[in-house]
Amino acid sequence: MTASGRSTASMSGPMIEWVRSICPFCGVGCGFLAGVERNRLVGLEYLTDHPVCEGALCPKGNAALETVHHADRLLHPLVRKGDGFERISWDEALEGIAARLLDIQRDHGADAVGFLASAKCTNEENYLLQKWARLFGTNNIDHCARLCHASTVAGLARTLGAGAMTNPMSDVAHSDCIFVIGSNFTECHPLASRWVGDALERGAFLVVADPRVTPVVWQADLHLRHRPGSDVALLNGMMKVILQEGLHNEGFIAARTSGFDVLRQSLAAVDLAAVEEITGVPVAAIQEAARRYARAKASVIMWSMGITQHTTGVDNVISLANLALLAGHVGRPGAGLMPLRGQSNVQGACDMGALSNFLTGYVPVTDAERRARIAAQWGTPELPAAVGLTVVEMMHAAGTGALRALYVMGENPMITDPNVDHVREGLRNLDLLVVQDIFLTETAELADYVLPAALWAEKAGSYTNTERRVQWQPRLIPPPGEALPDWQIIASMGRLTGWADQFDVPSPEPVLAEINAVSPAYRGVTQERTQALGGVTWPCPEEGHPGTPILHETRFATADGLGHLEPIAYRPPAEQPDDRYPLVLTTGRTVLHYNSGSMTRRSKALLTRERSLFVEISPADAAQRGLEDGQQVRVSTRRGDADCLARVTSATAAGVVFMPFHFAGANVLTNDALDPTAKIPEYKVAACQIEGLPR
Amino acid sequence: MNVLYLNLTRCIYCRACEVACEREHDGISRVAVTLVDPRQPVPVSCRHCEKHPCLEACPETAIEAAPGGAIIIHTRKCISCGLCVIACPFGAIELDAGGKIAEKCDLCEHRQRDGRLPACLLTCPARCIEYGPLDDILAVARTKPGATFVAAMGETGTVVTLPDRSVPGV
Amino acid sequence: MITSKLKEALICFRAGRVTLRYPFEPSVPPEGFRGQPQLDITKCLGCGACSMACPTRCIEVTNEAEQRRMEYCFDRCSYCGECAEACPEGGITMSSEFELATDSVTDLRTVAYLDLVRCESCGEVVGTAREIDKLAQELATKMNVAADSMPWLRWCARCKRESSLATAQVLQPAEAHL
Repeated sequence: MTASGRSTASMSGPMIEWVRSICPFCGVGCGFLAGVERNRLVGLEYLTDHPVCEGALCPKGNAALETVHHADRLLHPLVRKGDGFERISWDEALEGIAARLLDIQRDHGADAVGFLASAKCTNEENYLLQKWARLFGTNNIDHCARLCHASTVAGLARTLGAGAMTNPMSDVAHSDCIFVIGSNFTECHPLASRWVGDALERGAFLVVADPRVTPVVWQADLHLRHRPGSDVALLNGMMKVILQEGLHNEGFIAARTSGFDVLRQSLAAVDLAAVEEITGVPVAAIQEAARRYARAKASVIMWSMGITQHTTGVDNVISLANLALLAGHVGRPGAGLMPLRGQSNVQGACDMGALSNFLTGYVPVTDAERRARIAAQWGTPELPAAVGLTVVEMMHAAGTGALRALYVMGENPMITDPNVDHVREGLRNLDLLVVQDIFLTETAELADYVLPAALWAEKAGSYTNTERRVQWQPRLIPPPGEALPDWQIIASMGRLTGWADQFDVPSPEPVLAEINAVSPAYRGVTQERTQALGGVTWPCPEEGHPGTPILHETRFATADGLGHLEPIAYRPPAEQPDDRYPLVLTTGRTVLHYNSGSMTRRSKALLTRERSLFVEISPADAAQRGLEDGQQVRVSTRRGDADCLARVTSATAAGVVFMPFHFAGANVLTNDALDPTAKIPEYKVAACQIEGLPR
Repeated sequence: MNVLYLNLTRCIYCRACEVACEREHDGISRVAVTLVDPRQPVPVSCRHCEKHPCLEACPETAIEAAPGGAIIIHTRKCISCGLCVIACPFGAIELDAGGKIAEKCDLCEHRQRDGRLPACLLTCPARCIEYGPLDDILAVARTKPGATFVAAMGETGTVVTLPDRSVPGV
Repeated sequence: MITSKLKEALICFRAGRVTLRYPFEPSVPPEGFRGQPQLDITKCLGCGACSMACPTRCIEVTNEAEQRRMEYCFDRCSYCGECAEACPEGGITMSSEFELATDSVTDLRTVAYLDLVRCESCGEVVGTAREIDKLAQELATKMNVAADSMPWLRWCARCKRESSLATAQVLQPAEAHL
């Protein structure tokens, strides 16, 4: 493979070894074959018997090899020197960091330190990092799930007892009605299209609720073009119709839920005309959607950031659960609740407890008895009991000085966190910022110490996809330069900060064995099971258990085994358009790039196809401002400005504009107002203005 | 003879086929996913037409109809005259920017030589693309909702199924 | 010693004159000798194959607003004959002209202009009128279709792709649509 990443998979020869691997990008977890020759990745081949993808790969997966041997890879530990960095040895780096952390712990307490885990690192690595944070003495450990599906985890845990996707993605092929709300899976989880396509060919009905016309809408039978942030109103409207017309599943409600009477009473007060006013969706369309969803034999709800990234994110998710429980569409093939998780291992990072409010296995940090059990397993008398700071809260705390140090593993808040100018202030205010990553990201550029890490092909470990499927990625090649696997770096840090016994980690395999002992759902998720084609789906409560593709088949995971219906009232988004900022800015993704773009913006194949930041603006809004397609414009919100190219398109509604966050600038504009429960920011709604820039 | 099948009802405009084709062909994709209207993407590549204007246009006999029906450009013979580019009804041939050699889909000849299928069809996340004998393809295609036809010049070539899409709810 | 020298002298005298009294006599190059390329500009399609073939970059092809400019600069010519080999129309032949010395380099340069056809939809250059017309005639003959039944010959590749479905539907007989 050349330095620019070009290669031909047709290069065949006796020296190439083809090894089963997992795509490093999104939560779908597609399998493919990586060609290894003389310690380099030289080719990619399609794994047609992989159960998730049948060999298919989206454009990002096809470009996965381009970043591996990239010239920008971090090779040596670096320490801040003036405006730049100086190369140092691993011993100097690790000992230096440990000394500073122990100083801060002594002078300000363990809670003055925060840890960001990585949804792109392995289960073993995330497990080690959260274990280290807790042994260090704080629950200030969190990761980007906070920014994406924290609402789902909180909302579904409350209603169904478990915050995860209930059915495997391929199961959608068995649905008769597919309700997609706030998900652009054709771009963000392209493999989902395979199964949705199969369902549609069988005659399934596709309802899509989205302010934008995405490729999902191109295939829709019914498009509900609701206003950003009006989801609760829309869903309450649909539920009202279902009750009014007697389309709810009385048997299911009686046998498997609680709270119906309270919900019915609250829905009685819903006025459909008011719903139309709030959402902008005609009553007739709401009725059609409700009837289709409720009447179908098996209906599924698919959602993603359009539901979760709101100050009402948890409300939105609970409303989805209400809808599914009301119609009895959960717990069987083709019927379920499918939050499409983003990162290759965001499900795993959550399962491992890299969260400020949960220990491994979703044990609340406040649950004294179960916390004590884990403490015993970790060989320590006690673990911190107070809920820690979440991602955005850490940035605020860094700004006020309450947080003095931040240890970042594989995350890039300078691109992905909301209100980036405020994030920069916070990070600059820290006494110590350590960034462990594969490239010198925008966040690493601000660090005091930069540690070069191995990427997916260079370390072994398990990854959990959005279906709760745990798969093993073997080590294919050695890391470049002096880069080390994240698990090795964390283990060293654990030892150097006083926990030598707990961090004697010769390899990742024994860490998975420890995870089996600590997390009941992972008890049977052994290395052998994860290495099989397609891995194993948790809960897998004992060795030999087949795994659990569909959740809630006979009982929900709540204490009483029932699904909890809960009335939700509509609340508008935190920031409304006004005279100064008359447009609604919503942010999201494109098919060609991945999250912060640190990998995909370094792929020639992907970057040439999607080069830079843009804003989608409707023809009416463009005409009003005298803007032309392709013109440079400035987008402004209360928090800052970003310059980019205008794309005039009717894909976005009048009054709404869309920007991808893969390029610097979009998150300078976004609002860091949080959902009160999940602490997820409202990336989907901000008030903005756009003006043309002189040519 | 084998033909490609594009079920255009399923195409999601993701461009995986382009990126895969590019990787398989030294950095130049022979397929271009094109929006033929704002809501209909089409992966446009050589249709391996039964009546092949490109072959007729080539003054150097650099374009050949292979026994299996695939139309192949023998790049070594190409003199970069560009006549095949003009002749192709579908814009499936381009002169590559560097060497100005005419390039188009060769049905992944290098893969088929050792028994592997074309990359685009294996990689397509939405399973739009299939490959097989024309009669089998037509039989399957005609069971799908939408209009099926041979989207080539002549009686054989790439088969497509085009959805009948109205725009509901907007 | 001296006899061999005398023998040598004898051989040389018997050979007679071996040099040509050029330029006082003409020098006729042997069969197949490659001298200056000869252009029959009436045959030039403006396709640029000659330019791509030329190893010394003698031939420059540029598109202006309405015309394609072909500039042949035979001052750098290496007489390799690749341009003649490449030209699809036989418009370049290698003459046996080698008496090319001149104090004015423009003597060895020719410029030709051919009318361009720009894409009806977007204005991108498609090719020269001559090459497109000739192609239409040739395809009509070889494929037994009407010369004016191929409107795509005047469209650029990108616009052809954007209308590829419509074109295919037109090419197919109505019964084929199912």
